[in-house]
Amino acid sequence: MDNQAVTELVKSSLAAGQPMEEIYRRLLAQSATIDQIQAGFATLTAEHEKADTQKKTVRIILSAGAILIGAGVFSLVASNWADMTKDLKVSIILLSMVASYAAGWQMEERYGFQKTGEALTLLGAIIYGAGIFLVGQIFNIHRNWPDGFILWMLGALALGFALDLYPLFYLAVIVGFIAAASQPWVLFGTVIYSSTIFTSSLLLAAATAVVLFVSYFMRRRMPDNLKEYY
Amino acid sequence: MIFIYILLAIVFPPLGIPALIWFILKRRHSSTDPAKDNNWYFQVFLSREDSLSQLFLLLAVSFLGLTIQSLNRDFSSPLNWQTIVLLTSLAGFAGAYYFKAVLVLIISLLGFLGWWISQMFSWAFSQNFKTVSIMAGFVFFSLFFYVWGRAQERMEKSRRFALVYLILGIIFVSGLLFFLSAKIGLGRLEDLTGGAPVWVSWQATLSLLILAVALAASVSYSSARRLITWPEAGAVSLLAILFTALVLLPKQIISLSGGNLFSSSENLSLTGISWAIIFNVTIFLEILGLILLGYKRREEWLVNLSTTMLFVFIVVKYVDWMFSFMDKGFFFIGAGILMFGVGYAMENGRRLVLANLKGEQPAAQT
Repeated sequence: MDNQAVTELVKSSLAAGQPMEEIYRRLLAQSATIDQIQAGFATLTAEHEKADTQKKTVRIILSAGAILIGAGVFSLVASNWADMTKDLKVSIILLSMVASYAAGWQMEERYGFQKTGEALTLLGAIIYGAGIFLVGQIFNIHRNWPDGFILWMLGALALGFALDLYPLFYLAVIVGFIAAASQPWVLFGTVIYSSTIFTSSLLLAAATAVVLFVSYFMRRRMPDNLKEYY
Repeated sequence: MIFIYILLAIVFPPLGIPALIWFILKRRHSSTDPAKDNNWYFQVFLSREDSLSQLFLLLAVSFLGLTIQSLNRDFSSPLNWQTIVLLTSLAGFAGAYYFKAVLVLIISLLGFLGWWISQMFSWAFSQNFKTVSIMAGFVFFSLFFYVWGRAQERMEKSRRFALVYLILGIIFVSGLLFFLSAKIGLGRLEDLTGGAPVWVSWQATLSLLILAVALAASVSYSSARRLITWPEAGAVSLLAILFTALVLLPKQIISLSGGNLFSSSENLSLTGISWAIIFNVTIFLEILGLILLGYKRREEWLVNLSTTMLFVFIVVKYVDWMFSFMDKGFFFIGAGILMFGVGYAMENGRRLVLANLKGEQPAAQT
């Protein structure tokens, strides 16, 4: 048997799901040598690696392209922001958020790119947070600015539960700590970060209850083999 | 290694805390199986769900404190800020024990200590008693943490909490002894021992008595149950007696002319020299004792922590004693040589001790 025929047989056998031992046995029975069979496997491995490298290269190029497009869009919007109407501004925020979520869902569910899908969903959550502050700025809403972080945290948590996506929970943790740290704390008789506008006690109480529930929920989800250590 | 980050977080929080968080996240295992990993209790987080649960619980405690503060403001501030810190810390304790959340336990312990210290200071300012009693109370707390940690480490589920109590106890006592053994601490001692006796304030006296009784009871119980060794019990008792003596003694005249010790021309009085010797010998013996204890108990973490402290002790003493006397050029050259030499000797010694520990440990079960 020539090397090309051996390689083709190895390829078709692997595609059919046959184990290596079975392939070796069949080919040896057909007068192929061990060296030929090993060379056949090595050729296929090299072809796979080449294909992987090509896929990675394409992915990097596409990612760079997406980043450049994103940066270009952002730059365009930012430079013309002051001249836009309120309706246009809000529309841009909403559309970019929805587009990010939709793209994330498509990537993950339809095309099977889980990491890319998660990254796009996370981007959508970040746009949501940025949108809270932008809408506050557009409509001159006078609230204690850490309130925005609390609302952002609550939104990220809701989305995290809906999609069961852990990066969203980590985003909620970071945003939550920013919200907590930027409140006017009274320590040692001194007010740290004094403010003339205060966050509603109701919002703070709601935030307390929600994060406590999330903590309890996460505790319940721990792997079974760890529960006996708690 | 984590202890260096913990020390840095305490000494210089703006850099130390982010570095500590980065270190913890970097060495976090993707999944830890306590059944296979004997050192599982060194992990702050055992799984992704555990990390999120602890972080959200910490957030819940923070928001609870803020909610109470906000409601307090809405109802014309019937509570002072200390009470809010106390309530939040107690809630944190409850949550930490229910969820077995190590992070929240650490913050709650610090919060509770902070409340107690601030409360004692407010009594001290209003009734003008010796503030050295606050230091004594802090030491009682720290020693109690240590004994309580030893008592808890026998139970597998409580080992992580036990480690928190042990490390905090050791760091607090050692830190205070470091401070008092240096010029800056000795200089402060004169002010701290001035003032009326602590029993002019019934609140402070009661507080210290409760702490002392709790410490004595825990040491007795742990010794009787062989949860701590007799040398450990002895060391804890001696430290408690040392600081009790500071509370009971009259004002100590540390410097000759009554000035502050920051001036290089200021000399120690006989009393000052005596206390300097006492504190320096105490901290040195404490560190040596911890190294030996770590070796005897086969606790690598304790050997690592105490050798780090020994290194810091040598460097701090060199700076404290030599900075004023030596030409600055020689001082820094000497410091560099000392660090190289001590670092080399310490690392070799540490590896030898740990290698002996590993060599003596029984083979792992399969």
